[in-house]
Amino acid sequence: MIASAQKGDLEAFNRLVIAYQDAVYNLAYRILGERDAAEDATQETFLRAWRNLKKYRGGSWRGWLFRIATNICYDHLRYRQRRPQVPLEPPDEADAPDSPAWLADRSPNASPEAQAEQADLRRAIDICLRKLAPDFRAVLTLVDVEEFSYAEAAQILGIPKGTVKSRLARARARMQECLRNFPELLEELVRLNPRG
Amino acid sequence: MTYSRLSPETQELLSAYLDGEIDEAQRQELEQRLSRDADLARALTELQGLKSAFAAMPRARAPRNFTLTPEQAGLKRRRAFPFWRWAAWGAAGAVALLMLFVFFAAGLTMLSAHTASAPPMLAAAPQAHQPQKEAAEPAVQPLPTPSPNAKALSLQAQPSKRFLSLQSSKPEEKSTKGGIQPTALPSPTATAQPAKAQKSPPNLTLPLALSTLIVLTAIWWALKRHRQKQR
Repeated sequence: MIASAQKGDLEAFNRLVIAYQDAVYNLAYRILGERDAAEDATQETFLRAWRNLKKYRGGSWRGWLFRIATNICYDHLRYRQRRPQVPLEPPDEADAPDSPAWLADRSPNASPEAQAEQADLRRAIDICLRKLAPDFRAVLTLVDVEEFSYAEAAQILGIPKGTVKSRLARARARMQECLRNFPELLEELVRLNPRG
Repeated sequence: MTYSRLSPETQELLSAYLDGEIDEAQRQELEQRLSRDADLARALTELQGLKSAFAAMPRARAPRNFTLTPEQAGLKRRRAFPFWRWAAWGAAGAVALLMLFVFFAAGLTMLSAHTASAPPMLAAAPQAHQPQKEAAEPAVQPLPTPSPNAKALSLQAQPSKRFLSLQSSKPEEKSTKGGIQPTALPSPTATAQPAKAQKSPPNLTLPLALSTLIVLTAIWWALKRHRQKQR
């Protein structure tokens, strides 16, 4: 499919878009923290990927795509920093982690109490994640959510592997510090631990 | 002690251990420490919980499809009548128009030259031929009506040796027959000017019609091809 797309087959490329658009959108949303901005970044990612398709020299397609997405997100954040904007409307309900838009992995068999706990946990993590610096958000998302190795994350972010290691350790520490505001959730986290 | 209160070095070590990103020697050393240090073990447990919770975060579905349209991808649909063809037909049309113009201009020039030169010649003609008019009268008059001498007159343009010899040797015979008198024969210079004056204007119909036909055919063919491509 990638080879066909590289030859200019737009249909083949669009099949790749459909296969990866959720992942790219999630990454953009995690880094940017806004639905509209994530949408724009996702579209821009695929446009840029199409334009630079001939530069793709094999290897992880997902990694290559995520690198483009990350760069676009950083560009967006830099632009936002230069021109801070006050949102005219409060954050959309759909941005909330327990909104219908975020139901992809929700377990339908969980009890109402368990579902409520999970929803609280998700909300708390989401809040804490938004408080993190974009660099920390990016590395956390790539390693903990997308399950990239340190080497792959380093390649995507364009930073040394050692920086990924230290940045990730600090990001996790800040997340845990933030979650102290939700003491019952910390207990929940310990309970979630498979070794616990 | 919780994870966030550990030293940065220990945080890095625990974090990398959790992700399987430390070498064997480091791993063995850390596992020995973990077995001895309950706080460190609890910090690791918290970290594992955080990682698991983070990994279990629900994923959003893309709010829409991000597939690219040909326009977005810069793949403009091929024109039914591409630019180079427009350019070719434009050039052909321009050449045809130029030809038309040249023919028309040439025609106008020739026509104006003709009309400008004709009056003085026509005006001069009577003066120049006045003395000969009376003498030439009989020679000119027989022309409209066919006469026995018509053959001889027609041969005037290409006078045969025989005719010339007859002319020179028997002048009286001609005069007696009431045909052509020697004085009535116009000199070559005298005959040339009236002939030029009577020359018909240049016929421009053919080139004009030809040019128009070329242009119209080109337009018709271009339109036909254009319609065929559109289908």
